[in-house]
Amino acid sequence: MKNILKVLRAERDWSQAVLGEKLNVSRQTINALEKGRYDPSLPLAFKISRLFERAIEEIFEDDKGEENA
Amino acid sequence: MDHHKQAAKRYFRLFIPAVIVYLVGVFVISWAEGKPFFPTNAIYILTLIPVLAIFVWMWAQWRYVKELDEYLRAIQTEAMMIGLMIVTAFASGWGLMELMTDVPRIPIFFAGPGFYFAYGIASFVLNKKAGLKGGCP
Repeated sequence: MKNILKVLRAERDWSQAVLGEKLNVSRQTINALEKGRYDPSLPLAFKISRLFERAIEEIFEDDKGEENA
Repeated sequence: MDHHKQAAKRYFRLFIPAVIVYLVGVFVISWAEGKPFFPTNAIYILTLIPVLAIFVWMWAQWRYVKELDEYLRAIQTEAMMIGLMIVTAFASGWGLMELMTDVPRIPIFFAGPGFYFAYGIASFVLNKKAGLKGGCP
């Protein structure tokens, strides 16, 4: 799943480790999320959404949704 | 310190003593087996030592996996599934050949080490792919 996590993180000048600490996950998890190698669980997606004060669909792009439309 | 390191540290604090107890237990049983002054019942009781050690380290592993975050947990779960798949397929295949043909008998004792060997390699490969260091915890 594509996302703008890297952009949002860069806007705040946070490292992957800092973002990981804020979300209570590892730096490797942030890296996998940013690269689209891993799709977060719903609770983690909500945490990210609350942290950046953006709706989930603003952060994550559902590429499969476009295919089904 | 990140999640992975913290969880791994807690894991090793139980895993290392459990492995030592396991190895000592296996060594003592191998040594005692066949000794005339050692009754067979005592061997049965001694066998409980490595069994207990296995329970301790598997519990430590369970706790380790539960303490990881969701992505790292997914990697470990996948690695364990690969390990289980390899050992089950091999044990079933070889077991069938033992029943039907004259292949050498492999003691079931090796299923555990076989699982950890396969799990370790799978974990190492998956961790490398994910940019993590090391194999199974």
